[in-house]
Amino acid sequence: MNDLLEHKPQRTEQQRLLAVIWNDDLSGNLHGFSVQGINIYRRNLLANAQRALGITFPTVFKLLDSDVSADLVKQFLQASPPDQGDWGQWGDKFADFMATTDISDDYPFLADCSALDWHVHCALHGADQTLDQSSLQILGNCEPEQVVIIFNQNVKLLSSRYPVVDIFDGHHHDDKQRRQVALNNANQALSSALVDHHIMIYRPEFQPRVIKLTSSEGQFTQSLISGNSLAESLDLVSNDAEFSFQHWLLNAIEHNLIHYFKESYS
Amino acid sequence: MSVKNLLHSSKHSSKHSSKHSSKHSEDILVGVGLRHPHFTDILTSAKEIDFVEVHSENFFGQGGAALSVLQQVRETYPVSLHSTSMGLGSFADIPAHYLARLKRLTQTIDPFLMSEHACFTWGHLQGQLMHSGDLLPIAHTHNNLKRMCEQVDRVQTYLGRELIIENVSAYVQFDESYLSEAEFLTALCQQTGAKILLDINNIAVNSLNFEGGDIEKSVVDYINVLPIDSVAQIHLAGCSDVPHGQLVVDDHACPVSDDVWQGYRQALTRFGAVPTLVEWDSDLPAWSTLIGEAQKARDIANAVLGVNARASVMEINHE
Repeated sequence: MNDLLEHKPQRTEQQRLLAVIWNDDLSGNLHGFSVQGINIYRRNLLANAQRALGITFPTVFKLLDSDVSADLVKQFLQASPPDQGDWGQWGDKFADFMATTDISDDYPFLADCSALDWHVHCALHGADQTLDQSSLQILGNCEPEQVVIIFNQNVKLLSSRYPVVDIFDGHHHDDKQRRQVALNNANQALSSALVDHHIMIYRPEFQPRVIKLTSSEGQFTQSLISGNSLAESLDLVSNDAEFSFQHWLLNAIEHNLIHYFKESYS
Repeated sequence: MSVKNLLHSSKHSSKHSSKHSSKHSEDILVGVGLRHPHFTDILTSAKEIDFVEVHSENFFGQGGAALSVLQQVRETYPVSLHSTSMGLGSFADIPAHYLARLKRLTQTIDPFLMSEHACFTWGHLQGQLMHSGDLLPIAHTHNNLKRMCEQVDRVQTYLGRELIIENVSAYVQFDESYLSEAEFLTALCQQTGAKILLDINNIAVNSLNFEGGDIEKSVVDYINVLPIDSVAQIHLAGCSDVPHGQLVVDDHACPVSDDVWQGYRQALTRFGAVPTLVEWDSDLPAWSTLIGEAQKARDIANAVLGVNARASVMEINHE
């Protein structure tokens, strides 16, 4: 109890400064701190937050005008203050936040673009995982009912009805011509009937990539990621004559989608 | 309770300690802050510096290209991990997840120095723990000293490493402060076994903002409070000019100023061949320009710590 009492004055003074910088005190009382000094901290905070979100959500911030994005950053700071001590890990709630903003009424694809940016950012810094080659023998030794696939942790599936892969490629593809084609495709898709589809984020080496999956690829991959067996997952796409597990597997190995194969005893 | 006797000395730390005490100009270690735009430069250029320093939080990911680059850099250069978010002066506890990531990085990189700032960053708003997003100043009181000693002890024990604590630039002051920052840091080091990272530019910024702007006097007053064996690293940086009457912001966006170079001479004279780092974080220059700043630091150290080093030390200690 004595210890708590002894610490109380510091808590008050630090809380006071935090509250003033974060504009948490609606009275506008600066509690004795200089206006100039507080304004520097407020500008630094906003600049750091803008820089961080601009890096983490490059597609979204290229789509937005700077005055709009500055206002969104301010709102997001209040809605979801950083709590990790690393600006690079701030933004896991940004896609949900975007879905609630006025600008999403006019541009409803922004929330899905944010989700895609976030997962690409996470994959960029995710663990370096490759296929455990020795686990391949499970494919030959076990029945499909007993085979479970553990994916590389940098593989993520999203679903969207918007052409977010084309929007992403339209801003980030290495080739200028491909960027233009992707933007044209995105515009065309946005003016047509929108269809739900799966998007996959994966990391073959260090640079994450995004790809739109066919309906069967999406269903099959989602089922495996959810922990279903190979047999259960294959059943989901048995009506698709175009789907080939052999082709999927070669592609998955080539693109570093699989961490290892596991025998399931359930 | 101090943990200084519990701390192990890494291979690099031991090497550094022996160099530190020798005070010969040829022993000075000079490095630069390594930022992302210079990754290719450092991997493809001849070795012209002795070490690099990175911001720990930029490498908190479990993998990826940035961490891979740092591991490659580590094969050639000793690395100093400089943290910016730990908030050792926070009343709120440093979250375990933050320390766990720092420990993982420490084990991966095996830094020769680990540093943080004498500031607070963690607090509560509306009942939720949050990070301030900036290095916020603390009141220099005995209560805050006690709190920061607890945090430094905890972190040093957890990491098994000695920390180096940096003085900070500030834009507000607390009426509650009755110790100088130099007195605060001195006591902190005596009670925890930590060392001091002396940032000359931060002293200059605070001098301009709060002490009338006689930078040379501010530096001399500051360093004369610090025990000679307490400083384990020096930071040099520059910041943008501001109109008269405005507070100076420590933006690390410019070459080191003449005043800071002069302060560096004074610090070298008092503390000897302390590892020295040039920081540049905004409006990054070409790699060659940054290396040029590091070379200038080395030239100054050579000049100050040459044959007249001992005489100069005596002179400044009697001022």
